[in-house]
Amino acid sequence: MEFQGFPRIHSIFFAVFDNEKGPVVQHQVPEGTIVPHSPETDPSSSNGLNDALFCTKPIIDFEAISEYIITKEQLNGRLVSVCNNNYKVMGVPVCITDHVRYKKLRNEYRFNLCFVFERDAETSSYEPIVQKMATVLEVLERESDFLTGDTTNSGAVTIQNVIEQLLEDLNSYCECQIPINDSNTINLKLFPTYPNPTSVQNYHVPVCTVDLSSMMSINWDITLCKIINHINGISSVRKIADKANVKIEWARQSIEHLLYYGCIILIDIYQFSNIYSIKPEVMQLLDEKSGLQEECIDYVTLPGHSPPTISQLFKLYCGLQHGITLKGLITTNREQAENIDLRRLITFGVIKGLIYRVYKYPMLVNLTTSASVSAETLPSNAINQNTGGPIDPQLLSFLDGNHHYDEICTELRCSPKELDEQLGYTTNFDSVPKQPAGLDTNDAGDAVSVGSRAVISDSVSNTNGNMDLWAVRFVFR
Amino acid sequence: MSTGRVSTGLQFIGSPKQVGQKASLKGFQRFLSSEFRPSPKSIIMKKKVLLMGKSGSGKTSMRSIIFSNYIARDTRRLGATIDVEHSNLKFLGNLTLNLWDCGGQEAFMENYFTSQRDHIFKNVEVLIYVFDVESRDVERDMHYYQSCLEAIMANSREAKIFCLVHKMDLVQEHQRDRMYEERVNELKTRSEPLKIKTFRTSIWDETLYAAWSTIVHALIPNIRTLESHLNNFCSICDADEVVLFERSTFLVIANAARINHVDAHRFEKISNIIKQFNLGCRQVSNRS
Repeated sequence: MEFQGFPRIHSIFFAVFDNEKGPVVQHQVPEGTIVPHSPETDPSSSNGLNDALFCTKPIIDFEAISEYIITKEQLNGRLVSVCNNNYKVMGVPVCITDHVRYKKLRNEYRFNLCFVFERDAETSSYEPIVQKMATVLEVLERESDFLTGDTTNSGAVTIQNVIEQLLEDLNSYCECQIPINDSNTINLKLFPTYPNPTSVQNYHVPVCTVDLSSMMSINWDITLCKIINHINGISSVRKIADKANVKIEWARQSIEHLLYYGCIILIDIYQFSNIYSIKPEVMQLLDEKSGLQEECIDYVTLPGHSPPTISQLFKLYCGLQHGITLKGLITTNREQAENIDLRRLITFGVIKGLIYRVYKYPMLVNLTTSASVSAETLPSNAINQNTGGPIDPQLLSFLDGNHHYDEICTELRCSPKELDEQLGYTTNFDSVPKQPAGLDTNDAGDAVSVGSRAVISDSVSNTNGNMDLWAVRFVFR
Repeated sequence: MSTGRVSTGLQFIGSPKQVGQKASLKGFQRFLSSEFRPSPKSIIMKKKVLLMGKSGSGKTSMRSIIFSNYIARDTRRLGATIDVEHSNLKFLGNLTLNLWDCGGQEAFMENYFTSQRDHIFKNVEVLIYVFDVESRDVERDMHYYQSCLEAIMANSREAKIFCLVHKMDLVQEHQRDRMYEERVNELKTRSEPLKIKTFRTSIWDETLYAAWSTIVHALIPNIRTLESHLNNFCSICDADEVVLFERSTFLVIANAARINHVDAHRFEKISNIIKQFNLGCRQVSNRS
């Protein structure tokens, strides 16, 4: 999400509908960009020196696009962009109908203030500016005949002055302030637009990438101020909302704003039951030129301990795979991990894209029919073969295979262990085997932990005959 | 005077004098129903009509009065036409007038004769060209008119051409005939070898209806059959005259007469009067 800077405005022009001639360009800057400059008709703006600065050939064929500049009724008041091979023209056509004021002008005054950019320029930041100018000009015209009035007295600001200043200031300073008269000023500022961020969930954990507390001021949103102090890279959104005593929706929205402006990154809740797996990008750690090695070592070294070697870290990362929890990893590598902050190791790996989190999705499965179950078809009184008991109704809606453990635990405020007990998940391994547990795939091609499969197949032999058999399967992906 | 109602929107005023004429009245109604019943989409006839002329000459005003039930005074509030405005006007059940009201500003006119030439001038049944009698730049008007004719000759050779010398009410009464004659001669000369029909019009009197009735009359496909039947009907029921008006526009479609009437302009006068009356009634019922 890098901001590249605002595109340059190549030209601004003001077009009106003339009742004899049709659509015409009344003012343009720089001169000659839209229609050829003719010094005879506009003596005030030309003298020998300036002629050299004027554009010699128009950059756009105005006649070709005039129907999108002065438009039919359906397009009036809307942002209209039209491109030719090289340039993009953006404007909002305006039509003011007034039988009294425009009696001599056939009851209507139509105009359009247009901005010209490179054809492929990223112009989303300018859209509010173009809209605002159209509104401002319409109001000025209605209130004080700014566009159609007599402008011969030298002190008054004209539309020509306005567009000259607009072009100059927006291109140089990205903002503009033009006083029109005693009661009116045009104020414009360009704001960068970024792409919309992914949505924030209650189980996400925000990590600061900038020093928010020092940037904070009393003018900031109250909720935002309250939660910033609790963003520590460990607490989930829900926990932050609880600690800061704010509504969860507002906390989520505040985090979304911070994400939009690139102040935070979202990671997972750090739990020893988490499972991670490596990505090919982990090889970057071995590349000395990338600078990643120093960064990693700096970040993960426990204070007061000697820094680990890069091969140590690499080996730890490679120990992460499907089926191995963090607890398992630590147990195996206790000696090698003494000087390492494991949480930071994981955070570093996730943020840099070296490893990814494997989520655990519980799914209620009908063993008898092996039909797939959706949110609407979940039974209300199924007996879970894993536990031999009924399923807690609170849990039922989460068992369609679309909700992982983090989400369920955050919503229901329980720990993964409690959830395991509820759903009847057991593993047969207390010690981590050197080889990964045999991985099987179910019909959907997702990896299924063998451990839970064994539980289910045991209970199939206890079929009842009349009722459908249900069990909870666990999918890791 | 008895009025008959035909479901297709025709209203006719005739005076059957004898018994037994009811039978022929019914027969005629049946004929009209069959001639003008709404057709399935495949055989709907669409006729393209171009309405052109300099900007501000009165094209949109005329169209609004005839087809959109404006009164003359309301046309003062109309704005300029941007480029071409299309309207599809259903007429007599199976006929559709595809009316192209072309804005007359210079930029648009240039366009019509260059990049849009084929699009505008192909398949045209009728070209109506409107001249503002008060125009200061007659030479330029003629130039555009001739460009139109060239385009018509190239694309729709068989199109019928009507020239309306409009806004006659702005000319002093004693000068009207002379001005009109001058214009007509000029136009006829410039239009060679094409044949044109000319009218003098104003939105403030019945001349508007005379012109447009004739124009529409030229568009009706089976007009000859209709006229001969109307003649028969007229003689059978011994009527002095039978006139057929289209119900919503009140334009005269056809007439049959057995006596000579003094006032040659009676039809458009009737059109005008009845139209005003209808609009007046509508306003009253809207208010109450």
